[in-house]
Amino acid sequence: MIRSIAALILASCLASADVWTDAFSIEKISPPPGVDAQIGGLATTPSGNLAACFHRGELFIYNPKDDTWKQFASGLHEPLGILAESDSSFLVMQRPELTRISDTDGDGVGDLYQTVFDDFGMTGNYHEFAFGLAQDKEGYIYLALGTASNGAGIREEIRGRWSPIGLDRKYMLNGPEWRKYKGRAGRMYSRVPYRGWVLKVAPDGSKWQPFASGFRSPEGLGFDKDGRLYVADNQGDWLGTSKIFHVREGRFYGHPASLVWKEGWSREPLQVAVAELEKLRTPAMGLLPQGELANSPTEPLMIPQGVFGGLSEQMLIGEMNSPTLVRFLPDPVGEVSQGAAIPFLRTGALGAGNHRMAFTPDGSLWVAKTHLSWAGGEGLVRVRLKKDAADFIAIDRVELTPRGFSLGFTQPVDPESLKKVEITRHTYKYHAGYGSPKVDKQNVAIKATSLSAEGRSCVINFKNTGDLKSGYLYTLRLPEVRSNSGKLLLGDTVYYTLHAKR
Amino acid sequence: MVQLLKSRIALLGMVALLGSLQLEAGKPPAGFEKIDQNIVISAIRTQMKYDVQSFTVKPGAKIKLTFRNPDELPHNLIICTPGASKGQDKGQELIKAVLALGAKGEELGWEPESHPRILHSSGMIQPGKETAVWFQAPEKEGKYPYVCTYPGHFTLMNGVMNVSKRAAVGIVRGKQRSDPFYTTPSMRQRPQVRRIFMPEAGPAAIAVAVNDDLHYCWDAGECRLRYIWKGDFIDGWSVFKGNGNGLASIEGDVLLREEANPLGNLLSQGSAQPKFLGYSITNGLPSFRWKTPDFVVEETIKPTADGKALSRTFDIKSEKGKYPITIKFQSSDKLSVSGESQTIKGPGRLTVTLTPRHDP
Repeated sequence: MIRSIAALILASCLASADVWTDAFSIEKISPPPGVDAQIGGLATTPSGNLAACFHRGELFIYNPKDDTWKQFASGLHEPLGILAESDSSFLVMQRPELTRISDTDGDGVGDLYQTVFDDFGMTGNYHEFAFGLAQDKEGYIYLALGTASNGAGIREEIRGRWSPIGLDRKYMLNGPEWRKYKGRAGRMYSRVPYRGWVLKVAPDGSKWQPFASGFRSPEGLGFDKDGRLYVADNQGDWLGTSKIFHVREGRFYGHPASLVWKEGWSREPLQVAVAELEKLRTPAMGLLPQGELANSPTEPLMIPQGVFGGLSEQMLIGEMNSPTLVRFLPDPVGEVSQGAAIPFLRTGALGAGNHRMAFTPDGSLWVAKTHLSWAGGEGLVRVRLKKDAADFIAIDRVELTPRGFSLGFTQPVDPESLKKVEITRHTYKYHAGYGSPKVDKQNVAIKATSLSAEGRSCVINFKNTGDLKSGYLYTLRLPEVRSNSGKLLLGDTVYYTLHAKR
Repeated sequence: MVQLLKSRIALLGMVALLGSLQLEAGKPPAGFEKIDQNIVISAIRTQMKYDVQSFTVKPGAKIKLTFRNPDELPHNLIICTPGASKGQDKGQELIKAVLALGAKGEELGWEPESHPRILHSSGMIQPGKETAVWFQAPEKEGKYPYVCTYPGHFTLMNGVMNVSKRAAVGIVRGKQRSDPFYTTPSMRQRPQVRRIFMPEAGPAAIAVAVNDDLHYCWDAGECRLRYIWKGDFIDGWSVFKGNGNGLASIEGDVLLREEANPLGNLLSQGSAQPKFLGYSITNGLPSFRWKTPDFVVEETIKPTADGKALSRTFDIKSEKGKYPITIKFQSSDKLSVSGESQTIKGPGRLTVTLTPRHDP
């Protein structure tokens, strides 16, 4: 009895220390019984239900009103993305293809599985995931193809054209000999089309195009309110840390394996000088520091208009390894995409494995979890802004200035709470190695921090404007910042990726 | 022979009394035209075991239980009441009663008449024969052991019928499974279409369980059947347990590996690769569609009416292709085909029957 009271007190202390659960309720949803609860794809249907596809290929419709699951389809191959075209037709990204599953006889169960697009290769390597899905305003579908990992070789039978560039196919086969050759395959490799690419496909499959290259494991795609296509990629070889790209047609984003499928390309990408690759690549809009913010970023999703108060229409990005999401505020300078990443819902109550997300019309955010063989979670959680929490304080604007940064807040800031601001900067290596240490980490001296009269805008000027350097990630720590009404800042660290100065 | 016939008659009388029916003609008795569950259990040759370790049924469900004996010894399958041990004792009291039959045992098919623990019995099934028993599952939930009462067999030859309102219906064969979802409804669904990495096929493979006993692998990359097997369906644990770095295993005996598309003649009309279009599902079974520049083809593999063979249909529509088309089917020492070479003169359907050959 005494022990349980102590536990209760401890729990209540923790709860009051958790600024996130003060503002948001986080509720676990029971998955359908007897189903492996790893969710690969999640979408909202027009009637406000959720369509979730599971690790073992089931597609269930969840009705939030009565908390029920109804099966719509089964037998799908590792589905990792879904779009609801209607309440009875879904586009699903399976490992081998983009499929339209429809209920043609009105019994509430899919009976037609049409192959919309499968003009891409598969070696059978486990890491050749097919991720999705995003849809642009014209209706085109965007999907992303993961590269293969040298954690395994390829299978005897493959689908699609084999690229002769690289280690001879006979040495690439799975088997006891693979250990001897794997080092020569590339840490991640692309030997069938279009591994490491984002593809754009007409919704009827009648036409498609390779859209952009240079990805390693592009786990999620999504559009923001201005039509920017966000793609998340995972730390590893050629990625010093995980990244958020603003993906534009024809660009190359840095992982060289995919270059073998670039028209006219004939060289072994592993033998191209880094300096040349550096010239080819478009840098990431956002660097997400490994071990601090995200180790495996997932789906970017826009908060709908009118939802989550002052964060309306901002971008969220999922994260697999740690109990957090990421909020991203773009701050383009001319044609250069850059901006700020801020932790969102960084609380144990959310849990890890945050792989796919959806909003329903009632303003709920649904987070679907998976893990496969890595860190993560299972099942579905529902996140709602609490009724009495609309006056939460968060950063809603981060702008680079010629002398530092300007930050906007959703509520007036208590000037006394702004005194502990700290800024550091660092960069990462661009190399074939796996990940990167923080390189050239420096403290940035602040000259002055000034708050606007109404308290919602804060300008931070650097002592030395020479500290504003292209290619660096700036970490702004704002501990103890609170609103005039005494609420602690939700997300008190800003990670700003700087490529172009103002 | 006369003795055997006599025991059969006695047996029939007894099981009818107990509410189960065993008919050699294979026709269901009145009230069992529509059944809830079809269970097939086979003795494993030379192993003194049933291939089904346990099966689960709902209380009161109408069951057709087929018992096959491909072994060289006679075997039976008697489902017992749970008894004092709640189903853990492999029907001990019955076994004791069988031993007590002594010299009379063989004449009685090693089945003590009206023993209180006998619920349903297949009767003694001779090598190479099979039988079907129709019965209604008990209303009382619990574990009901089944055994072969031929002297000495029961220690290895036993299993459990699990009667449960909640547990997933289905059968569990052979070995213990690592997969915690192996017996869930989703995994035991019959028929079942499952896209998964399969052995001896391309990476875009589709495994289909036609019924509890016959299955095939269709390759969406090559747009053709790869192989047919008999037994249990697949164990996908090596794929499901992690990131997909593995292959599902075939839990049965491959009857046929088809080396090439039977429509080679059609494919040779154009240089383009066949293009997979997807599939529609009717009564749980898929019809796969693919096309070439000249033809649209739909292939459907269904069980025959008795569930023991497969009916394979090609429905060919011409865009601009030329007829006649010769279709060449393969057979094997384990599977016969009703016609190995067939010609169609114009758009339409062609069906062949693929029949597993009996064990030698």
